[in-house]
Amino acid sequence: VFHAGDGNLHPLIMYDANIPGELERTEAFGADILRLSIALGGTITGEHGVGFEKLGSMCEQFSGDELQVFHAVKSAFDPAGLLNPGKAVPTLHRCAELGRMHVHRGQVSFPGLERF
Amino acid sequence: MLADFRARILERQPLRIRGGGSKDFYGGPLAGELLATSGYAGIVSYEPSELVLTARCGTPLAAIKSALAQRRQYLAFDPPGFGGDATLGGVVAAGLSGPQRASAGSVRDFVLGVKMMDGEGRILRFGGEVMKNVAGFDVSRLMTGSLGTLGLILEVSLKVLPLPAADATLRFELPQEKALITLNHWAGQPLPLAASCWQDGMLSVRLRGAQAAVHAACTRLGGERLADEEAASFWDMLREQRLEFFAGDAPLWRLSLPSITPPLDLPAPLLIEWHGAQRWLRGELPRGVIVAALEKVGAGEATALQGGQAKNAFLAVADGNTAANRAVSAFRGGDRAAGVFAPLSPALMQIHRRLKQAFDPHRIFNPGRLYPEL
Repeated sequence: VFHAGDGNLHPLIMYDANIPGELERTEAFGADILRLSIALGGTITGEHGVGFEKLGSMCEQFSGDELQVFHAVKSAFDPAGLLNPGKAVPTLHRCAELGRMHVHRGQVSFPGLERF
Repeated sequence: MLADFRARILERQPLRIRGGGSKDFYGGPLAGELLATSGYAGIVSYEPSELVLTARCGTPLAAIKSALAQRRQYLAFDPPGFGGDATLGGVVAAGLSGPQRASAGSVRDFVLGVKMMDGEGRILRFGGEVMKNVAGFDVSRLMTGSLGTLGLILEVSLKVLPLPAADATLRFELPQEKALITLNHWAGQPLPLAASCWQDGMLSVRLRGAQAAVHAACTRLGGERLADEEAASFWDMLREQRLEFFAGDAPLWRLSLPSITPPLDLPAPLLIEWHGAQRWLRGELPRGVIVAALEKVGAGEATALQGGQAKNAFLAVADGNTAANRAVSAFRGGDRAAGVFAPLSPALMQIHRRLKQAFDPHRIFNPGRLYPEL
């Protein structure tokens, strides 16, 4: 489904959950679409925001510095971290685990950060 | 240039960010060493078919308006320049919108994304160049109106709109109360109302939109139609505050109100915009006198019904301030050292402090420009 006016896509990927591996392939395909959207100057979400499913793609749209700023903004309003912890903005560890660290000038952000 | 900006920031001395200097009068007293952005200029991209323009912070507002006009497009939030040197960075940092704001939306509504440098000299991008984008927190909107206290805006992407096909200005002789009621009545109808201005018993109304809509509205509303050139010049002078009302050194107060607020009993020249929602006062009035006048009229039309009893909305206390106090800011002139915007409650100030700490931990950018404490 496409919103022609504002360039907004709602990809609908049909798959058979009974076939082993189809779900994973579908999710990988979804992530590919998001990657292409970012590469074309777009964004991973235009309407529904980021909860859990698109957390990994946030690591690709934003640098480690930018994600760190998001965490600081979150903490300005919610210093105790009570509101929807873990949603909307991925931790830098999560990005590192997904292998999607932003590499800038041959260095990842926060090279001193412990990674798994 | 970016390396120069970063080097200055890494010196960790207070900086006063300045584009054209056209809004030096606005906000708290100026402090810090000058950081001039005017050299970092130029339109980076402009896609008329996508209704998006991206430009560097030092780009003159006039250059942007002229590039848009060539493609019959414009900035619908109608930003005031307050001088020919105004830059895009200043427009966004000051967060000021012009006469069309009440109908078209504010500068914040048209900022799609920013590239900025924070207090550690890091380059960060938020938002983007697309109409719809809800990934991450809306930092580009946070930067809008922050008066440069959170960082150096490097680039801004704006949503632009096609110029309306038709434009007409009508004048009506109306006393203030009647004008306010009329404007509120019109604002609730499908009329192509773009801007309005009331002063000294004269209401001017700008209609912009499709030919048929403007023509129909002119026929229906009546009034006296201004010649096109005179009309265009009037709205320019209003936006740029060059009308006689704004001349001289008397302090200029800005009141941001519910548009239905009845006339205020104050001995000061008055000009009303935004269909009643923005009111300008001239004169050496203490803030307390203006606030008291608001609290007095609050029992009139600007009330909220609670439990069957009329409640004065201006007396409603949120964040330790009455709504009346929060409505008043010292726009131009007067004593500015004690703060020009209504003081924030401790809870809100704490959030502001944490945001400042997050973006500008060494407290470099525009100290005291927004609030004395920041």
